[in-house]
Amino acid sequence: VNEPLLRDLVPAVIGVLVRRGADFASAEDAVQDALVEAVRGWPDDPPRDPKGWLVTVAWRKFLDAVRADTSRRQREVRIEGQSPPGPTETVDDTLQLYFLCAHPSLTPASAVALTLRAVGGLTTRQIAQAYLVPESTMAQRISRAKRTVSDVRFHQPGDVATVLRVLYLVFNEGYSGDVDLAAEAIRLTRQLAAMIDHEEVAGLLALMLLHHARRTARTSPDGRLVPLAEQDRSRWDTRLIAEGVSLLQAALARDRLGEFQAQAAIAALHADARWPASTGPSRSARRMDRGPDSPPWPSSTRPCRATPPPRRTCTSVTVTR
Amino acid sequence: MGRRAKENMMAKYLLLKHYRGGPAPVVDLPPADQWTPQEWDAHMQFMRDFGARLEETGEYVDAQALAPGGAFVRYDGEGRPPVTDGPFVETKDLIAGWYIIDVESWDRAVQLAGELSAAPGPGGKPIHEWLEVRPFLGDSPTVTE
Repeated sequence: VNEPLLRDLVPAVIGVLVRRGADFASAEDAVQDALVEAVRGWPDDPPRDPKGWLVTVAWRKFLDAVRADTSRRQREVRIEGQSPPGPTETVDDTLQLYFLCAHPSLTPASAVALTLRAVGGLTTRQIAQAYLVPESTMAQRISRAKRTVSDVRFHQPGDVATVLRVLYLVFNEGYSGDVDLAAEAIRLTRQLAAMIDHEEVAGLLALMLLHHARRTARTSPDGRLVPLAEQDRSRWDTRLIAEGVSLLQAALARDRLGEFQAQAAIAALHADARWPASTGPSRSARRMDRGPDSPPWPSSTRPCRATPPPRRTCTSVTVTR
Repeated sequence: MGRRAKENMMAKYLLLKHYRGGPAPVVDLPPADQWTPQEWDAHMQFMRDFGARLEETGEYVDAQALAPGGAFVRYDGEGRPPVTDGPFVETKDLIAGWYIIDVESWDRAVQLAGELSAAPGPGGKPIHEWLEVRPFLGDSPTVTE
């Protein structure tokens, strides 16, 4: 089973179930159950239409859960029958799921956990391992998060800034357990960037790629952190750097600077330098209004509303390449 | 780890209970073997309830109690048996057990330690014990350079 491919489908399938009338929490549970079945059954019997298969099985799981729930409480069956077979819905609610899972009523930790499960399609166990907590603790965190957003209307517009903050936190968690959270954050940010045309989304993706490009050079064989100045630059991933720089240039050209673009610009300066001496912190600091240590979002303002540094400084960043 | 990580991400803390050691106790407690079984049960029940609440809030990582026995052990060179020293008669500090929590902030860790310190002792009164709160040494965030 191609697990990343399978996980790509998760948010869309949840979206289909919600569109058909399931509540978010039950839809999310049903899709997780369907995923388990997919991992078990697909290696021997791969479906022709993976998304259609997931929708069908998840919907059945949802109906089963509703029926069990209903009969237990001796209530009337609320939802009748199985949906007609045929092509799956074409409307993609994945973006809505990003917004819901990063809803401002959630704490950062809850938003991170819910995003990794409902948007990323990770299992509770995988998320628990990545954050080094017991599975039961992570399960509690996720179910509390779902309760918190249970009254949020699914289709109400969300705030991109909160989504970016969550993805940034996932990325920064790095690598522990058998799930590479940095890679997962990049995957989810890529997916987001494909759905929404927003310069800060591009900025965050660029920032992640530029940092990720240096990952193998960042630690020594004994696990020690290698400072930028001492890193073996031949081990940087130039393909990722090129992609990050080009994303950033396109974003900066729109002249709506935000924190993530600013951070990415600093990372690009470092990634671009063939010798450490040509980009010192002082040079970066001169070019940017905010130093690299300032938080990625101001506490009181949203990142995309942050006061941009003077225009000339970001232009000079874009031409260094 | 920068302040940013501290403020925005979950972090793990150790709440360490001591048999002895730490600042001077504020309540003069009789030794544990002089508590009545009921007082002891109430104390242990409080600990279990505390752990159950942490599980419910999604902040629980681990909890263990240690027996007072044991010894210090060290390597003594190739082919030689390890050297032991103990039991801990000479140490002024003796660990009794711990909770490991995963919480949003230092303030939350302190709040929880405060609750735990109110565990009942003789007469059902809070024992006001000193708890040591220690942050885990975390991995540096990826974006630091």
